[in-house]
Amino acid sequence: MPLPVLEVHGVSKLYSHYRPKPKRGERLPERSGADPASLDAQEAGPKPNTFWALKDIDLSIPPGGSLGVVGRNGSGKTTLLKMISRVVRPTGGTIIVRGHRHSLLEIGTGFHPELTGRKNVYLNGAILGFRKREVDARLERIVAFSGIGLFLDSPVKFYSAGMYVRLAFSIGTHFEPDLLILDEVVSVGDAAFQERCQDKIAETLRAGCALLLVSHEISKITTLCKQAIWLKGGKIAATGPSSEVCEAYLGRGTVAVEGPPVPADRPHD
Amino acid sequence: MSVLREEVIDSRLRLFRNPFAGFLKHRDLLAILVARDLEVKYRRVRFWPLWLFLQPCLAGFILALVFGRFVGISTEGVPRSLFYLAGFLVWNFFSRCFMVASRLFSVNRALFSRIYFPRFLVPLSGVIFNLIELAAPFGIFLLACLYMGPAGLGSPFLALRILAVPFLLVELIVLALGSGLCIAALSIRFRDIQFASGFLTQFWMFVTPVLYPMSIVPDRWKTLVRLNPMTEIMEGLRWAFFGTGSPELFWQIMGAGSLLIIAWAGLVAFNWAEYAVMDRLE
Repeated sequence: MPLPVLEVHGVSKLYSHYRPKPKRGERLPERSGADPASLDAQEAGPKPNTFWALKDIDLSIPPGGSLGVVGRNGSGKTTLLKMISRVVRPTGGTIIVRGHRHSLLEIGTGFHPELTGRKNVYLNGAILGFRKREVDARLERIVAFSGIGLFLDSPVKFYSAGMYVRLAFSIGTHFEPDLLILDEVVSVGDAAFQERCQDKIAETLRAGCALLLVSHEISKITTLCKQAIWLKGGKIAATGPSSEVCEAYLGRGTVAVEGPPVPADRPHD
Repeated sequence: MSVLREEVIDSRLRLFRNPFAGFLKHRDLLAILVARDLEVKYRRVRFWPLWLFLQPCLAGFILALVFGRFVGISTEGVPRSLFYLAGFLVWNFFSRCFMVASRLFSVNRALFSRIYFPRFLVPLSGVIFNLIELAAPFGIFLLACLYMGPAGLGSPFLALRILAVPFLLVELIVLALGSGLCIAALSIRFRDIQFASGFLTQFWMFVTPVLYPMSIVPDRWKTLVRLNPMTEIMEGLRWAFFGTGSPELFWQIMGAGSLLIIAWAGLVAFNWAEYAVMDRLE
């Protein structure tokens, strides 16, 4: 059995609430740490005004495996992805990534508006850790997939929003990482492009890449991922085959909330 | 396809970490970042030779006029235009490298919050960009040294001493990055530092013999002025160019030693700030 591409051992992240300091003589009401107004109340941290955005998360993905992450806004999904992407440092625990990790936390990372599409492809590729010749070999396919055509040599500041995200997404998916980390970016462009994106991700998966996907679109999780976890208030509420986890999540997501139910498959926050 | 490499992410703040780790994999990024900076700055700029060559020369000339001729500060026999051109080029390069480092996180926050790559590439590419911009007027300066060399001085300008320049430039870069990164880290926690850093570079210039030679500093102040590591670098460079100035071996060694401490402090500050800035999204 080969070693997993991703191992997460007991990872936690502590954040502080930023609140105005009380004025002289004024006393703010005691805060226990967790915000009762948030959708999923997180556990209070050791110091006042702190809370655990994530607490003792364990997970692993075998080579070629796929894991979806579901949960409501503020449940810690993005924090988890950012820690695995090495952008945010965990407060405790260890993460081990084996092989080439490739994170698409946001579309168009590192794009410079003054540079042409072509130069941005090279810049973006280099930020992702690819050599110039590796980008050379893929440039044609990237351009064809994005469908930006003649605009390749125009500065990206003249691009329409759709062209911009299509080019950015194409760069992101035309390299073959060992672990692909996607946050919501699957929902870019028009319907036709979205479909092609989903096909492209499925193709990358068939090529043996592992996938970690965060999405509010439950259908994407169930089609693309075999396994899933449900994050709730910074803890894993359920784990298992994606269809079962998603059902559990949807069942609770619409019932146990006070106030109007939040549709769980909103595409964006 | 790729070699299986293992990457461990945990919560430890490392006091000793190789800042160049991971550069090999991202080696093409350095050149691309420098090219990006150059292109963004000079694209569609029609009179680029004017800004690249003439601007520093004009600045040197005006400094020579004001501080040399009007104020009458001694330049130890070096032609005033050369003395002030050298001072301007060196200080300008230093303050720009310092700025690259001290604004590292505020300028690149959007990029740093979305993707990981060896962050140290960014200040390094900034230094290389500034070196390229320094090269053009520096060439003019060297030509002027050759032309005006023998005038009035026993030793010709541009002797073998010039070989010391690369070492002194490395010292200067280390000082600029080390102190700049400390400021960058401090400004994450204390916003006021942002305002102080602009003032600090100005203040720093006046306590460094840039616009005046070390020899006009009164004796009782000399030790204090020499405690500034930039003093030794500036005096060393002046010695390398003109054979004047008074670099002292003791202070050169002290300066180099203090640079090691500043470089280490800057790297620790950098290791801390790289993640701290993400926890304080403003």
